Amino acid sequence: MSIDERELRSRLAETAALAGPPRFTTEDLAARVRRIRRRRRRRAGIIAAVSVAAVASAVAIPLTRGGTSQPVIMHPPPAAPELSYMVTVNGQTRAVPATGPAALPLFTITPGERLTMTVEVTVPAPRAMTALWLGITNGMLSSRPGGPADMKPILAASTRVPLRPGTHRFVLHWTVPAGLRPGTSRQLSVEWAWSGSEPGEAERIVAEFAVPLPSGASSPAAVARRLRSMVLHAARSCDGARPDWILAVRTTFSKAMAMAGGGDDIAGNATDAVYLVLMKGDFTLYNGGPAPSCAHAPTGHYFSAIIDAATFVTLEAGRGNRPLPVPLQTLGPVLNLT
Amino acid sequence: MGGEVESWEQTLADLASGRGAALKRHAFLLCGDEAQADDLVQEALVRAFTRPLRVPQPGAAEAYVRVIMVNLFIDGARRHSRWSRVAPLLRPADMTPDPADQVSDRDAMLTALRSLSPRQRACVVLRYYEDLPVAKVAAVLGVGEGTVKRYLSEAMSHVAVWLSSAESG
Repeated sequence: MSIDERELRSRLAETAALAGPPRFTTEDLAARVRRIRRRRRRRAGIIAAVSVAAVASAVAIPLTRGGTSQPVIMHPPPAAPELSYMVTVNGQTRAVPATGPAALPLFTITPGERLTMTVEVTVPAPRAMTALWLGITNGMLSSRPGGPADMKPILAASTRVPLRPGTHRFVLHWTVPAGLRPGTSRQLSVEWAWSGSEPGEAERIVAEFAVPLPSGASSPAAVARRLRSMVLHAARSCDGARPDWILAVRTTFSKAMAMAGGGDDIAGNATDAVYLVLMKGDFTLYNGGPAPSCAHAPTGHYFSAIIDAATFVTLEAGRGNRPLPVPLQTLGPVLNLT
Repeated sequence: MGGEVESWEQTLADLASGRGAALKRHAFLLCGDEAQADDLVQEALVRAFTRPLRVPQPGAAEAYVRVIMVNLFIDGARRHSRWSRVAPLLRPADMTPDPADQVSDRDAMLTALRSLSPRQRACVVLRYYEDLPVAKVAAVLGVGEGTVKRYLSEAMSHVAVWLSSAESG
């Protein structure tokens, strides 16, 4: 006997109809999702992300130095050992320190390009890491028992022998997907696990890769539209749906960091062209979570973002209660994006 | 409350209440069991929405959840297979069912589907129930198009034999 496709389709539809109505409720599902999200936020050592909103939620930096700004970097629990990194991609080396408001090293990539990366991971004494994975992520970091959930591909895994204190070198190869579109980005991320009296695991991004936009996309009007769209999205995510004003200036990364950030930790991107965007409004950082668990989330009247001019990847973002110490005009012509 | 939070809760509510039954039918074809189908849909929905930066847009959410269901089903079947290889050894010989005996008209197709390997079943459901093109099925399962065609061909032959057995029995 044979069966043709039409008959198979018909029989499948009849069979599917045997299924009864769902026996779950939306409320139960939403409650489960909320619980898991809360647990993940507690467990994740450092949450990093790629959009302005996500960067602002996770890695806010002081807006004014020495003022009343409130850094809200989410550090791992005290027991979590912090690792530091030296990342070399196609001959360019950038350091990623263990702590502090590290700006991510940004490397531009070309679709189809084969990258050779060297990552030196420094494990601090006295702890050994029971496992460590390095791989490519697409804006999200999470893990499941036994390894990372969002690394595709995993480029290196050290799971058999604990990594002792000291520096460990990994040579990685990654072929950039040929279909990656201009303006999109990927991250080199690491997840590590440790044992002992307080075992745990943490994840972080150590480098950002981005495909540059074509030159036509960098006309002043296109730039203004894109920046405005990015920061308005960030504002909406931080309860500041209607900023009073939005200003932007094109400058170098080191100057932008000196004005809006910590200033000392620029991961080797010092001379890269960036846009420093400043908004005034009422902003609340929820760290990506629902409001009830973030009742005491930090707020601020000023929101800044440093956005790479070639790729529009957000390098830093932060909020504070005081304006910048120096007017934006000192850095160059100011774009009004309001 | 941030817009993202409202967004995922609304999308989840829309999907669970409006498309829950359709998702369950899809899951039912995959696993062939009511309770497992409920579990599969719930697990897929939870996984889709626990990742804050990947909350699917409403239009794409259902397709995204269906892909997660297929992958969860195949992963689960892989884990279960270790037990399945041992289980027959623990079962008395006279309890081993004759395929023809357990097939009735009503659930002949379901039994035929159960006789397929998980990947074959996923291919059949995606291709002939979801009407996805072969290339898309290959992308969902992470295999080549040739492999999908082979799975489909084997599955069609297998299903035909089971249905024939049911009809003659």
